[in-house]
Amino acid sequence: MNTNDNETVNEASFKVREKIGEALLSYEDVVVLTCAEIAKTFSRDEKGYA
Amino acid sequence: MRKDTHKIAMDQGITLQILVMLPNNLGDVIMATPVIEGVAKKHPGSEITYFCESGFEAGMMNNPFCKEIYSFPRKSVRNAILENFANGKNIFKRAIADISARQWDVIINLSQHPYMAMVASLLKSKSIVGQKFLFEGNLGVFDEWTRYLFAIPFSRHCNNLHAVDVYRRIAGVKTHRGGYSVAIAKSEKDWARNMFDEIGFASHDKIMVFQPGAAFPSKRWPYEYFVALGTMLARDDWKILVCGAAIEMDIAEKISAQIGSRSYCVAGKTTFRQSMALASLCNGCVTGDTAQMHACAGMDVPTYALFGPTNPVETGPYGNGNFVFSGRCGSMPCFKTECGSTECMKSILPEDVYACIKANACALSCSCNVYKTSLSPNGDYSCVPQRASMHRYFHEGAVCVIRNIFDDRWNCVPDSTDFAHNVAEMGKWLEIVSDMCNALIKFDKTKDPKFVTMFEVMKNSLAGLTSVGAFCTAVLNLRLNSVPMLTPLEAVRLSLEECWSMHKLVGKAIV
Repeated sequence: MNTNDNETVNEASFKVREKIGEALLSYEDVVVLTCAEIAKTFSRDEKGYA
Repeated sequence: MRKDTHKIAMDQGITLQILVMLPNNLGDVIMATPVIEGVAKKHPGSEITYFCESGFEAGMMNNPFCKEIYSFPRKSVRNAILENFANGKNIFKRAIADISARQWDVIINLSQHPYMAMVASLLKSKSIVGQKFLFEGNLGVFDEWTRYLFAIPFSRHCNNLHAVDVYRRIAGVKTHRGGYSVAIAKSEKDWARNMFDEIGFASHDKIMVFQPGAAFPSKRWPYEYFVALGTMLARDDWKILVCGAAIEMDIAEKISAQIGSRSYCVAGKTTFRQSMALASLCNGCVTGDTAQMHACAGMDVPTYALFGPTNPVETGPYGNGNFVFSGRCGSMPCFKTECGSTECMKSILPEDVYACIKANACALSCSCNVYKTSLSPNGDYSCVPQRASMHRYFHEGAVCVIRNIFDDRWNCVPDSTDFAHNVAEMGKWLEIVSDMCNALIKFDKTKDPKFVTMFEVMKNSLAGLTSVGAFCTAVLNLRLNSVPMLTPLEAVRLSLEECWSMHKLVGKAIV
């Protein structure tokens, strides 16, 4: 799956999610979904905790 | 049925390339060390790589059983993805390039985070144990003990296993010598000795580590309690070393200053490894539920662990003979990160901890719960209440039923009413799951969607069950959510298989 230079991670992952149930995902598709999950992560120090 | 490839690979006793994944936090990394040691001993000559996030390597450093630590720069990858996705995606690919180029025999993913399951599935491996991502588009968990791990939060009183002991079972490490593998290098010890020389702590001094900080405010013991305990210990000729991260420096310095000249504060001035090295030379450690607690337990430094909102049965100081104190509060363990009252922490009095340090036993007058940690011959941890009236954190009958289902028998009183109550609940659970199976069979014959709706309605009715019913429902849902969804009819057939399989396991266990 090609990524448009201006596309955000949410836009890219939305496109991949539309494929679920229709066809097997490709390696590139899973990379996109992984990036989308990483984008949601935070650690305790980023919430002001030790 | 899907083959358990992990089990096949792990039982052959051959040299393997193994990747163990548990990315954060420091305490969790230390909790992964028994798995690393157990797997290394089970497969001599195997090469074990540990996957953690950058900043959490300290828990695994110098581990003799870990060949390599792979640090994943999650924060910088995430920031790059959010700034410019095309660029961030490339940075992510470069970040995993080294581990992607290798052929793994087994990946043991102990993490519950979806992104770790996805990373595991992007790597080349013969098998993955733990959560993985299916190229059909859903997350999947296919081994019993990872299902167990994921089900714990749904019914905590059904579990009496420490996280370490669940991780060991996931990795197929049935027995373990017990204890973490925490290794301090000679150079680190030398640095710590020099530091003690500089601050006037002699080798014959009795030194107690205080770790007043904790990840969340709700897990912190009031600072004035540390001051009171430190003052009592100082009167008995103890010296106090107050440790902590930079963010905890203010409170640590305040405590140290109020205890007086027998106390020294190193908070914010040492790395975690240096703080571990200093603690390794000490005679005890008073701490909340922190990474330092796990480190001290791993270095056989007598640990006095103060638990409030979290559960010492699940994440206590894994080792023999450590003391755990927990407060009295009706809703513990609540796992709240912040709490208006912190009643649980406040009800652990400094006098109770002091009495325990002094006598190596719980005082008769003790007002809080006190436990002593113990390891069984196979390495299983338990948190033994020092008085019969003390809170247990789990229900014996429920644990007995669940451990039977997982074919991991645990001795409990066979005729307890609690056990009978849980067996009765499972009888109801079996009836509902049996009806779910029948609905799927009818759908398979007629293709009438009303039977799928019936299946969903019955599945939702399982949510009304508590205790063992809730635990088993969580396991069943994990099984159903792991069914690949690409071909609907095949998905129905596999869902039926999962329901029958779980029905059979539960039915066998409660007979």
